[in-house]
Amino acid sequence: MGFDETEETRYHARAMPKMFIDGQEMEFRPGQTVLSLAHENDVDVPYFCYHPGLSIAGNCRMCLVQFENDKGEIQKKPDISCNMACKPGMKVHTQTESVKKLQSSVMEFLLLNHPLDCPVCDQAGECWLQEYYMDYALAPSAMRDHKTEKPKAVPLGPNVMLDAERCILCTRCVRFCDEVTKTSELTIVNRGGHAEISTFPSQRLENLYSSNVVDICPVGALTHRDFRFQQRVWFLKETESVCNLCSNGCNTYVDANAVDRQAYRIRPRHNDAVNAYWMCDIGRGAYKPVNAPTRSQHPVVAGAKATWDAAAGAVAAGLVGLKADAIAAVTSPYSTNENLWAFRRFVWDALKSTQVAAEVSPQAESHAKGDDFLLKADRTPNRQGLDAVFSAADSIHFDAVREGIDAGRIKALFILEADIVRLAKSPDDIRALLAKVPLVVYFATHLDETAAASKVVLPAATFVEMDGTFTNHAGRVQRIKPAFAPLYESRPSWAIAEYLATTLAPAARLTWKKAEDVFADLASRVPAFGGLTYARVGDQGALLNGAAATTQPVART
Amino acid sequence: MRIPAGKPTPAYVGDSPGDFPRILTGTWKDPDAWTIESYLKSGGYEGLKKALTMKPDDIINDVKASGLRGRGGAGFSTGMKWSFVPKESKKPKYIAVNADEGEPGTFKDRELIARDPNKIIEGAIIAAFAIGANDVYVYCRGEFFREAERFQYAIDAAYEKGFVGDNVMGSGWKCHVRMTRGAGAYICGEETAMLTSLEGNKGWPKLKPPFPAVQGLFGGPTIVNNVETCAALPWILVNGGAAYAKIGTEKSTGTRLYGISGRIAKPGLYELPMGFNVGTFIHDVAGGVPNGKKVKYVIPGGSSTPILLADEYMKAGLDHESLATFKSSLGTGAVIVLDETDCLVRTLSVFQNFYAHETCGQCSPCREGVPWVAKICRRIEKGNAEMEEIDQVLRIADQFMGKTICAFADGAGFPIVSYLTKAKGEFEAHIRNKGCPYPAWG
Repeated sequence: MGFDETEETRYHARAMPKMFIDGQEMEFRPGQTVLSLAHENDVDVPYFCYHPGLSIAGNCRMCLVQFENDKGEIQKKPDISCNMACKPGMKVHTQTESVKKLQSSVMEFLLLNHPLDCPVCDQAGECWLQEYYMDYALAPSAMRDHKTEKPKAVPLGPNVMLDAERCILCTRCVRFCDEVTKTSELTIVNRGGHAEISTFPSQRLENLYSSNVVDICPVGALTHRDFRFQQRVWFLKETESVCNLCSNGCNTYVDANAVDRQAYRIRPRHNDAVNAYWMCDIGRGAYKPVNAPTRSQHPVVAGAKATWDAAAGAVAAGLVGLKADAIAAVTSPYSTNENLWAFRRFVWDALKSTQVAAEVSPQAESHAKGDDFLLKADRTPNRQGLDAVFSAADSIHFDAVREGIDAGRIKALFILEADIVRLAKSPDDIRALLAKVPLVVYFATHLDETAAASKVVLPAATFVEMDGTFTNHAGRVQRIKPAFAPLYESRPSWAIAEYLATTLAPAARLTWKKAEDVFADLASRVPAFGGLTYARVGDQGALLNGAAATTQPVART
Repeated sequence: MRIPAGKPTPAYVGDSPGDFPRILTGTWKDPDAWTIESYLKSGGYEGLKKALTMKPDDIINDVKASGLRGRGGAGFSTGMKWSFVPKESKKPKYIAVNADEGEPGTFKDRELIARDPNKIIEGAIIAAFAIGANDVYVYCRGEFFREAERFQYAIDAAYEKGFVGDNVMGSGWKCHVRMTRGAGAYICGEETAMLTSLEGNKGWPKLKPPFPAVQGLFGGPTIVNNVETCAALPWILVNGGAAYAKIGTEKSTGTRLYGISGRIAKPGLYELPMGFNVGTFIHDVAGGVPNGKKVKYVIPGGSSTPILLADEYMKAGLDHESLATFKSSLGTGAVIVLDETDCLVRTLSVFQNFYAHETCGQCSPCREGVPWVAKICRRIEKGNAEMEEIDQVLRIADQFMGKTICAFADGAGFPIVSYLTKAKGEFEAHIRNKGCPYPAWG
């Protein structure tokens, strides 16, 4: 758990106690451990079993350091720094010959019975055994006896596969299930060299957060069944992002192959104010639609593939002779703040219509359930942003759009990135409704049912391919970044709005070069976003004006 | 209370010479010494009676004055350990009696439980009163079937006679005693692993700090005392710490139950004052080495203690300080005698197999290092090893000793270091011979 700003300020106001690591004087916070202090000051202390989000286990013995007594002698018996509380005046040594020997010795033990199947191990490339071997060991195995054999490729549950031979028994996964999810599926069975991770017979590792054990496993013992054998990690590039599958907005990394332009997995990114170190298993699947064959790949006009210019021409032709009150639009809380704002500017300023329904079906009608930890009942990533951009005063209810269509008044409907047929309470009604509108223009990420009912389908980029921000349930504005350029002919929706506005109504002068420009425009015009910039949002997010600071629980209650 | 029908298989209890009080074995001539009637007749629960009239601090001071040191192996001052318990504690305090005797060669606690269980319970209650605990947990080794029955009998008897319960001997003080059985893991004799096991978890040692005296069983301040330590307490209370301190040596006071086994004419248990000469013990008290053979090595305190050579053991005394001068230790007081036909490599290999089987697997150095050494020892014994592997074993031992959560790795490492430095020649001979030079062992 981190410290919020006020607490941090309070600590700095006080005279901080000091101690020494390798002769360098350092200030520490009360209750801080030597390991944590070393890491804050970029002192190199390796570890396996320690994890800032879990209790101290002290079993890997990799973080052993030496202490200096009052007489200035370095004590021979080492101690683990992860379990050692900082004390004023304490003197710790982390770089002595003796400590280096200890580190190489622990590496020798951990690799002793390790199968060294790196060539077929998914962890290779991000394996702590590999990293630390290069940094602290670099010695061949002295073992002449048979290695201990243990079970391999054991499915622990729907998401996690165990290779007991690669396991270093750091117990991070056991502690995660005990302390964070409080489900305690995992344990260590057998003793000594035969010890291995296991579940109770016939029980499965099946909680909603089970995949986190794969992330915290420092070696290749626990691998994700989705990711196994899909990609070598050195071909992947991590991109900071935010999960778009619920309103919690867990901070994530999207790991993608930038050459193939394909996303392979999503991992949690540390943010104490949002998700600590964790995310749910649902969110990990968010990458799957990105490279799905159902992606909307190119503009479509009346069911036929078209160029962007032809699509814009079709839109222009459809709008000829229509008055502003014949044009309506629908958005959704699935879009980024930038896309919502650009879309609003397009509808209001270029099309001169203000008939925008914020969403087709209000959230109260959703049946999704949240839990007591990260997952929220509201499965949309940007409801707070939507509320800020399209407040009740600036939007209309979808029923008004429906009436307008039924009455034959509304003849053009612009839909932003929302499969409104699927989202509606009764899809058949919406299908019938769309059939009555002569011009339906859909900014579509996928060729879904709404696309099938639209005259003009414009391919929109997904959250993996563009810059932008989501505003989570607590009003925290958080950045997403592109892992690769938009696939096929797709464009970010803000760019589509800009393109259509420039083509249809150059006088509106909507000219943005990048998402950041849209955000700046948004910040200058919507008070809730006032003063916010991409720089201020940073990698940990920033609160909307008027939102109260909240802290996410680090574990299930 | 249920009178146990079964009888434990008794070990031979030998006579010991000298004029000193038989604090532990005094009543053992009587086969019914374990019954509550017999115990009360011989002055049982007088120590508790006296303790209840004293201030807890005075009891702690008296035990400090007695010089009593833990009998489980580490030999830490009992009174000192008690004084680490915070006076005020939000969590309940506990006494845990370590009856998980498992050190190879050791069989003293088993006999104490079988022959004098009431004395242990009385000692534990005294300890509870001294540190202000209201609960005593007895953790009895799983293999001790009959002994556990007698333990339970003694606990039931104490409840029946009012020595434990909500109102101990009418004093108004509450003390409850419960027994838990182990499930066969040596590591559960390590005090913090024992506490983890008592809590219902896999018996893994706990990280220190916090130490059990501050945060132990169920998070409460806990004192873990060995069976033999508890058994000495009633006598100390009745006769005073000063009287106890007069027995034995200056720093190792009182009597101790020594078990002797191996190449010895009269193997068994002997109560002797601390500091008793090892040579006299072997040759005069326990009948010497049979078949006219000579002593080659003596293991003075169970499998974890370094050996004494033939020219050392005659000079060594069975106390902490004397054995320390021979770079050995008293451990559990389990003396193992090896004669000239015995193979030390085989001995080490057997011990290391034991440790490899029993390492709990929590810390990487011990989990990986100890079984590795066992594998190499097996090969050296068969002569299937290279000369440099002797030094490699020493290197591995150095890599796991003192680097882990508990002292298990040290216990496994002491014999390695000791045998390989004091008797390296035997190991070299195995490798040179490509097999064991002692035919009886081959």
